[in-house]
Amino acid sequence: MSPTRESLLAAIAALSLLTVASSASAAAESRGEPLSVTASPRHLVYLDLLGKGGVWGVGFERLLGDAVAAGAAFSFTLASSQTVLSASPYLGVYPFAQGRHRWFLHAGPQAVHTRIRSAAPEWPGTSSTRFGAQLSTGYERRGRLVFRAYGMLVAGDGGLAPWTGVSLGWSIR
Amino acid sequence: MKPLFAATLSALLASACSLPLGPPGAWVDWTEIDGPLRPEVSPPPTESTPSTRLRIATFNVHYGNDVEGLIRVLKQNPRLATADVLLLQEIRSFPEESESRARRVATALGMGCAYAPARPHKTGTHGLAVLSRLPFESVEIMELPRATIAMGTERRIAMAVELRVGGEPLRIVNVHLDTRLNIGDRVGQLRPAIIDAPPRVIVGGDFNTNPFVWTANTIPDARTLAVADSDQARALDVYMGSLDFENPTASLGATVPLPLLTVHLDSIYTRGIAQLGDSGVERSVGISDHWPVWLDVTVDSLQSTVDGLCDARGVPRRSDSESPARRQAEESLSAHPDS
Repeated sequence: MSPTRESLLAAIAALSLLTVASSASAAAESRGEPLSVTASPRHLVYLDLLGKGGVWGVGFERLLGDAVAAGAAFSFTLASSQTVLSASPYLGVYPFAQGRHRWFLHAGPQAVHTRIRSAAPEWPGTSSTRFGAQLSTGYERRGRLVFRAYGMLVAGDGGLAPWTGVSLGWSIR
Repeated sequence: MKPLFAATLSALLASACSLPLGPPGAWVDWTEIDGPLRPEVSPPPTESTPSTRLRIATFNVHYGNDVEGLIRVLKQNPRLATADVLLLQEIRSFPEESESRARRVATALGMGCAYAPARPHKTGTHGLAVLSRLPFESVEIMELPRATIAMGTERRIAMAVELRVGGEPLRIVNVHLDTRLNIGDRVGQLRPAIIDAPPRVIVGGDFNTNPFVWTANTIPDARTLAVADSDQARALDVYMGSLDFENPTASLGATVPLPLLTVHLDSIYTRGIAQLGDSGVERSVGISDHWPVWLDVTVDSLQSTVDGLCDARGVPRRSDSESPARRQAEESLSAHPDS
């Protein structure tokens, strides 16, 4: 269960990037540069295809400021003979924005619970819960409908894995 | 938004569907199989001196299209050239070629050959083979439970040969399982081929124990590589352990040349056998999309097999329930008291 050196390094890198990006956006704000697109609505619910939840997920996000957000994505996949449950809370920043188009950076921990079902009477299957970290970055188009396309890096006991995702969401006041 | 919602819901429901595995077949002696999938069996040209020491190798040869190249690498590799038993997967046979590819390899290596087609392919067949320096006492084929997989439903088989090693029978099972299975289904596909195996048995082949969780047996959740415990090779070792099998090849690392990933698809499991200790993956053999895996074994007597499944006080090692292997060993011993 203990995180590997790679996952720790990835988590540190993700948090460092988040801090740098957050500082950059705060500096831009202090200079009076336009960063955010929409002052409201401030909530977002979305569906993920691939992405933080694995193959699919649902997420919720709240803008904490013009360029900072917090959210979480969840997924429950009942694959054949296997169940995968994941939770991915994250902090997000928007270092670049132009009109409805924005670039985002999300980072946070990830918990994944897997349960293997076995039909063999001599083996009941097994289950485990593992923790890791994820860093994702990509493009967002935000209006009433929100579209995202992004790449991500997941780190955990098993090392690093590249991944990708597409999100479609709805802004809510 | 209604069509989008419906499409999303359909995808989620599809991912939730469990995989239907067909019923397994029974072990069938090769002589009872007729038609285009009839196996071919030829004895070794010269019988090896009976010994209790064997080198077993398994190799997915990726169709064996370059038969001469395959023969060359097998002959040039000192580990493989001295193998007593070679388990081959994904080897093909075509009537327009002079003889089956498995037999050509076997002849070149001075081994006997049992080739079992799993399914027709173009004008020929695609299947498994066991090459052996010892004569075959029997050759049996079993159709494994068929997994209904989008763009990938295929007939899969296991083949079992019986050799006489040190005066006693040794069963060797060769399997090639589906790729896009989750571990529970993989166990379900393998189980019929091993559940009734005798106490002394070797099971080898391409188990396709990839490190992914598959959604709808189509989409690999690559994210689980890093975070989730999705290593099917390790999980299959645990399952085989419940049947008293060991996997002396478990720690050998990757058996396929993939960048960035360490994927252990090919293994050799043993039960009722004392391992000599030498095993390896021949990563210099680059003729296939797999590397050959080999293992040296010594074969115990049946009495040793029973004893090996008990502790020093004679108590079965498994305390949770009766060991299937021990029960079978005792039954076999009482049926053949001379062993």
